Amino acid sequence: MVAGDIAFLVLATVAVASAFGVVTFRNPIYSMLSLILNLLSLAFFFLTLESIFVATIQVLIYAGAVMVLFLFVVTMLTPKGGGISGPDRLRWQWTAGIGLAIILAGGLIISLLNGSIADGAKVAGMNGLSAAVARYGNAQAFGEALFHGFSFPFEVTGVLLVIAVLGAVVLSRRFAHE
Amino acid sequence: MSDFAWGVVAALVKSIIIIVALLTAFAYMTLIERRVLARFQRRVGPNRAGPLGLLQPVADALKMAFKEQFMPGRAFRFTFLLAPALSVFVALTAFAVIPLGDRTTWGTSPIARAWAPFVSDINVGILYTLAISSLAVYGIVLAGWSSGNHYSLLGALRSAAQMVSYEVSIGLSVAGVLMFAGTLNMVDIVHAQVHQGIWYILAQPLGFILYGIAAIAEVNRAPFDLPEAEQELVAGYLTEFSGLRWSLFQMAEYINMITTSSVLATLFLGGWTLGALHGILGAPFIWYGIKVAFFLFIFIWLRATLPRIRYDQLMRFGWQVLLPLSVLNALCTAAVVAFDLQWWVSGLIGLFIILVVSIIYYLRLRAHRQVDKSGIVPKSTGLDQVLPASVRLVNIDPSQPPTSPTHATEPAATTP
Repeated sequence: MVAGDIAFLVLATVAVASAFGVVTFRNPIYSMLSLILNLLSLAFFFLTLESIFVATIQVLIYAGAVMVLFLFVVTMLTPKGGGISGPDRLRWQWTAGIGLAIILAGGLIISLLNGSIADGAKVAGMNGLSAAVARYGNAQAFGEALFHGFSFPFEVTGVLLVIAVLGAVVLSRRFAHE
Repeated sequence: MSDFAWGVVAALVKSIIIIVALLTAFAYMTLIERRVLARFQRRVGPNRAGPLGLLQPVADALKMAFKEQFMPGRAFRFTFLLAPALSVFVALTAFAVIPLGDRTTWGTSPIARAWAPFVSDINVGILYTLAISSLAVYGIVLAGWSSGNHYSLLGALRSAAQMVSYEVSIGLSVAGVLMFAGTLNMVDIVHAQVHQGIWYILAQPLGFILYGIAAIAEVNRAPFDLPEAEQELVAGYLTEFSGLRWSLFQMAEYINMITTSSVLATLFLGGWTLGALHGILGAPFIWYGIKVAFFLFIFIWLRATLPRIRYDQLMRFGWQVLLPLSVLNALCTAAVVAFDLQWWVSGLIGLFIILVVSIIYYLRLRAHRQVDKSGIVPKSTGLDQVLPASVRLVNIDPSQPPTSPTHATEPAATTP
C-alpha cells in the first residue's frame, strides 16, 4: 500500500467518524467540534489532491469563519450542564435516516460504477486542471478559472450573497416605529 | 536518501528550530515587555534575577511549573484541557510560512535550498497564515465556555465577535499588497518589493495602518484586549486557568504577536531585505530581527499609552471605520494596478485618505469636547451618540444637567 492510500484511509475514517459524531453527541458543543474536525479532514482531502488553495480556503471560510459563528450561538444557548437531558424525542428519525443513507450511498455507487459520468470527461477535466496548475501555480489556476471560465456564475453568486445579506439586515433590524 | 526524504527531514528539523526559537523569544518578550512598560511608568522593572534581570523568564517558568493547576468542579474536562493546547498549536503553526531569508540563503544547490530559512514555501503563503490564525478564536471560546463561569463565557464571546469582525478588515487590507505583488507566496512578495525597488509601506500607507490596527485587535492586545478585561470580566476566559495552562495562553498571545509582526515586516517592510545589504551571510536574519523587534516595541508602546476602548466603540470602529476604509483602499489599489499607474499614485491616495480621516476625527473630537464643557448634552446630538443604551448603566434624561446619581440607583433593600 502506498502512502497516498494510507492517507486516504486515515482521512476517510476521521471524516466519517466525525460526521457520525456530529449527529450522535448529546452535547451540542461536542457536535460542533466534530463538525470542525470533519471540515478540517475535508481540507486535508483537498491537500492530498494537491489543491492547496482550495484546502486553505476551506479552513479560512468554514473552520475559521462559519463555524466561529456557530460556536458563538451554541456556547450562548447551550443549557447549564451542557448536554440535552431527557429522553431522545427524535428516536424515530434514526430509521428514516438510515434508510435515506442507504438510498444515497446506493445511488452514488451506481452512478460511479455504471459510467454515467463519461471516463473521457473525467480524464480531460483532470488533465486540463493539472496543466493549468503546472503552468500558473495553484492559486493562479483557480483565479484564471474563476474570473475567465466561470465569471458569470461567480458574479451571480455574488449578487445572491448581497441579496441574502440585505435580507438578513431587513429581518433583524428593529425599526423606530415598532 | 531521496530528495523527498531529505525535504521531510529538513522540514522537521527546521520546525523544531523555529519552535525552540519562538518559545525563547516568548520567554524574553515577557521580560522585555515588563522592563519597557516599567520605563514608560518611571519604574525600574524586574532586575533582580541575574544580570539585568535576564534570568527572570527562568524564574517565572519554574514558578509556573510548580503552581497548582486548578480546575473548577463544573468545568468540562476535555475542552478545558484542549483549549490551551489548541491556542499554542495554532500560534506555532501559523509561523510556518514566514520567510526569515531567501530561498538561496545558503547557496543554490538542492540541499542548500531544502535548508532555506523557512519551514514551508507554499503557493498560498499569506492565505495560509490568515487561515490558521482565524482558528485561534477556538482556543479562547472553548476555554471560556468550558470554565463553567459566566464571566469567562462573556469574555470568550466578546473575543469571538471581535476576532470575526476584524478578520474581515485584515483580509481586505492585505489585498492591496497582494495586487501590487501579484502573488500570495511570502518569499515572492519580498522579491516583488526588491524588484520594484520599494517597500510596500510606501505604496500602501493606508493598508499598512489598517492591517496594523486590525492585527492588534486580532491578537487581543491593548487597547483591544477586551476579552481579558480585568475590571469588568475578571480577566475573561483566563479566570479559571492557572499554572502552566495559564502560561500556555500567554505563550500563544506572544507568539501571535511575533507572527503578526513578521507578517507586517514581510508584507510592508521588505522582509529580510535592506537595500543591497542582504547578500552577506547572516545579514538577512539581522534585518528581519530588527524589523520584527520594531513592531514588537510598538505593540508594547501602545499597551503603555492607550486605555482600553469600550465594547461598543470596538464594534463600531471595526465595522463602520476600519471595514469601509479597507474596501476603499482595495478599490483605489485595484484602480492603480489596473490602469498601470506608478506606485506613488497609490501612496498619495492612501496618504490623502489618512489625512481626511484624521481631520474628520479631530473635528468630531472637538465637538464632543464642547459638549463636555457646558455639562449639558444638547438634544440634537442626543446621549445615544455619547453612550449607547447597550452599555448605559443608569437612565439619564439627556436634556437635564447631570445631578447627583443617588436618585437613579436602586434602593439596596433587596439583599439576597
